[in-house]
Amino acid sequence: MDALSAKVREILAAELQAAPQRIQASTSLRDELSMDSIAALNILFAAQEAFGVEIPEGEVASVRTVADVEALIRSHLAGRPPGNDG
Amino acid sequence: MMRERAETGFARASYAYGVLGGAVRSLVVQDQAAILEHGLSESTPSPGPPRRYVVVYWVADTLPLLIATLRSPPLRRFFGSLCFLLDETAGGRASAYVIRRLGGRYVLLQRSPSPGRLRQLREILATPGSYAFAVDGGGPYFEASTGVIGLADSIKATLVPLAARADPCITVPRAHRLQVPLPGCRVAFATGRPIAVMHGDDRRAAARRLTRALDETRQGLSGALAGAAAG
Repeated sequence: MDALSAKVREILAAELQAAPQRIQASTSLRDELSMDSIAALNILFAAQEAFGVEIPEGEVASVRTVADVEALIRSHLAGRPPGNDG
Repeated sequence: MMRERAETGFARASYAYGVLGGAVRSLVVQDQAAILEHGLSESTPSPGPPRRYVVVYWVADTLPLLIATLRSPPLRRFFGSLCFLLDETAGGRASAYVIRRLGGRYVLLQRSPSPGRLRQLREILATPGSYAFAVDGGGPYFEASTGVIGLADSIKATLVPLAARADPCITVPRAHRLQVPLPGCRVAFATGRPIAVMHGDDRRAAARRLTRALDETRQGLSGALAGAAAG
């Protein structure tokens, strides 16, 4: 697990008040961690502050798992939206 | 189109029923939160952001709340100071119709998960103001979720539980147990003790406290209704 993943999981654990061991790449944010819309927004704000990226609400609404959040942030750091392989 | 007409018809019927419910025999108001007489005071004596409130009730109490509001100018002023958060469902749209007719404010939230809903919530978080909503809308009923705690935490708001009961009434035999007040009913309305949400609080524990507070506020109305009947 690299530094980005560690930071993402730290943000998710804090906002969703979940034990770190429950947060795995395949963990479902809504089904297993009970993420609601307010939590999703707060995670968005925390991620934007931590990584210095602007993430549109539309992209946040479509994430399902912890791995999706990590991929979303990586893609914005790399300067392109996910799924756009050019 | 047919569905829209049916929903509008239901909303109009609800409003008309509420107006006719002015044939309410008596209205008892208990204000444990001490906020009705002066309204929600969002100003603070010292410099700083205005106070914010999140006012919540069970879906089951919606119609008695409506009737109490129609009957009581202080309650109309109180609810007029709030923005209602409604889900874009048949029930939410019916409530929006009634609130509009009463000159109130509301936001009809798009269904989750959707980018539109997140944008609406972002706007809510950023805009000063206090909000009201049925905390168990859509179910599970009679349970407060951690979402309301998260909202109160995010906007640094105090939670205020509300309850209303009507007697006699028909209780709809569904999970939401919606009360339908009957003409000539007695109505009791109460605010419960406010609940402060501290950042970092265990949200599940806070949601359980809110559930208990709503239930206790509601249970306290039985005595008020019995008193109204005896008086």
